[in-house]
Amino acid sequence: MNRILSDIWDGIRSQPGRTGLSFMAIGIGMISLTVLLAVLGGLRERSRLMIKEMGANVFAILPQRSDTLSGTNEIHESHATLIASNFPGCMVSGTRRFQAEIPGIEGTITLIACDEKLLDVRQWQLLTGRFIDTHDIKTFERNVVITKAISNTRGWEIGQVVSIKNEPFSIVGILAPGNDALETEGAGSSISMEEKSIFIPLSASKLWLDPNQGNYYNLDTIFIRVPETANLPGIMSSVQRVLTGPYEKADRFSWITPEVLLRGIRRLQAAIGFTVGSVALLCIILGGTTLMSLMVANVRDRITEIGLRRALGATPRDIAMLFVLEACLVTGTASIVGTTFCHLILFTAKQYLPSPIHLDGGTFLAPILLSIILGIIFSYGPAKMAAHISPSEALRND
Amino acid sequence: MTNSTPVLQIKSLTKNFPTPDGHVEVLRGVDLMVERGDFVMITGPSGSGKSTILNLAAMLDTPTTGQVIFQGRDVSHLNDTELCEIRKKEIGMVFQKFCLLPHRSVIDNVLFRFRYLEKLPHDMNSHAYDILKEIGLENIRNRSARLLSAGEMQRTAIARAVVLRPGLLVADEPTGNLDGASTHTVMQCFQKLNKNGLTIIMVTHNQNLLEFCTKHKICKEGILV
Ligand SMILES: Nc1ncnc2c1ncn2[C@@H]1O[C@H](COP(=O)(O)OP(=O)(O)OP(=O)(O)O)[C@@H](O)[C@H]1O
Ligand SMILES: [Mg+2]
Repeated sequence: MNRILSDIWDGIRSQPGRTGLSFMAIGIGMISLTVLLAVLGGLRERSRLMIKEMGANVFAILPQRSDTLSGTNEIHESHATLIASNFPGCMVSGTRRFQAEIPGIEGTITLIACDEKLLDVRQWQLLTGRFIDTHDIKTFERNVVITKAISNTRGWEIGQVVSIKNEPFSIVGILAPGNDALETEGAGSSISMEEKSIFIPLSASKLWLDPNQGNYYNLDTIFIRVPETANLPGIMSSVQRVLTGPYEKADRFSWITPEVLLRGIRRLQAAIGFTVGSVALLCIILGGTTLMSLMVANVRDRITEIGLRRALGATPRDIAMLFVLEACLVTGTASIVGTTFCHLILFTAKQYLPSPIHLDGGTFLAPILLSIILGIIFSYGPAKMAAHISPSEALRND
Repeated sequence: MTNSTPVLQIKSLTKNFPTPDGHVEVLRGVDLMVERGDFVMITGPSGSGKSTILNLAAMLDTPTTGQVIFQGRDVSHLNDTELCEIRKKEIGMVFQKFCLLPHRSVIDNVLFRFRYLEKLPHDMNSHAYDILKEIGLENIRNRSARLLSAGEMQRTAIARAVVLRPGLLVADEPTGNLDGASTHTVMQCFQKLNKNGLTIIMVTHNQNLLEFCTKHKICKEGILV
């Protein structure tokens, strides 16, 4: 082992320039590969969380936001009732959002007015207490459920009374929503859930609405959970048909499915895979060919040494191994240096980067493994050439 | 193998090389007998096939026809791996170009002789030291090989060739790149080693060196006379 290492070291130090060049090319290739893996991993992670938060068999209906507020694109509670009565197998829940200032909490808080089915539809996790129930809805009860984030920052517990829009509400439950920090394309904030939200009974929210206003029965979103076994696109188009009446058209609503949510991420994945991927590929090819020309020149320059080794009893295999190992050592260390450097940078700069980053053992080991394979592939030819040099010719005086 | 077995016997050896315009017949029936303790010198015009004979004697190449018998064993039909095994332990070689590893020290170059042995002798360092002392290089043993004079380089190469006490030392124009004084020291080295029992075959163009040898052969158009 020691002997091989000092042989390799001899070879490398006799041509530092060429070695440095292929070291750099491979290193840069591996850096771009690491970035690629980290970003794709981050996006994959994000889609996983997104699906988890939305629920794999949930879709949502939102008013088409681009339209003017003419009233024709609004969603009403009657829509939710209509869907629920036509699709008894599906779980339907409508929500409406309000912004409010809550004494003791910085910034505005999102109030989510909902019915008792929201928790089951979204499949969030209730930590303590209960969710809003039918009784709350029926009796306009001033009960609220808060998120863990609010509970943590304020130290609020079940039973505590909080003032919302000057009305006292008492906390009955604490829940952990599926995920925070979702920026979903086309869905807007009505799908995702801010960390600091307060859930109130839909009926209680009427306290600060005027029954004479047109928007008294409006909803922001209707969530529909289809049964596990059902086919989501099929049910969605039936729902679209049901909502399409003489005065209404389904296409004035946004139909958000997990598929739609992922579309943006998929596009990003494809774009990044293509751009960073081709840079990585180019660098790798460049590094590989530099390495190969390095090895060919290396073999030519060291013909006498090869002859000497053969005279001292080295077999062709020993000679080939020498060059392959030398190449692997160069590519291996280049990629260890490159990936380590890249991981350090990505890890520290993670939160400032525009795309999610996911680093793990795979993003570290895959480039190193690949570089060693590249080392073998690109040095195989030159090594074979070296092994076939006849010792008597290698040692001729010239 | 007894003590009287010749170290090397070459019998009606021929060697052809393929070239673009047919085979060239370089050796055409070479016979040579090298006994234990011989110092054989081969001279002859350039291109007569001297190096070719040495390469065959050193088992770097295989003959077209004829026999090479090394220490009683016919090696003419052995394959590459088997020849490697013999070269590894039994053949020392010195060349006109010194073939040192320039970045390594003198002693490391000598120790490079052990590079392809499966089992390293535990006393190889003292062996290397002893041989450098015998050749008079012990004081510069830690100097980098690229900083040596030509004579010192060739003596280092000789030390490397003989540190394993080979059965046969093959030297192809070892003084070809040396001036008069260095040639003399190098030849004294060879003579000393030969007196201690080393068998040597050497090719040279320098007629003045013939005083050192015990046997002289002339190579002429692929035949030894
Ligand atoms: N591999 C080869 N292929 C073709 N021809 C070769 C080969 N090796 C040697 N020869 C030819 O064989 C002849 C003898 O070569 P060799 O090197 O043995 O000569 P030499 O006596 O050592 O000459 P010099 O004194 O110049 O070293 C030369 O004509 C050379 O061209
Ligand atoms: Mg010659």
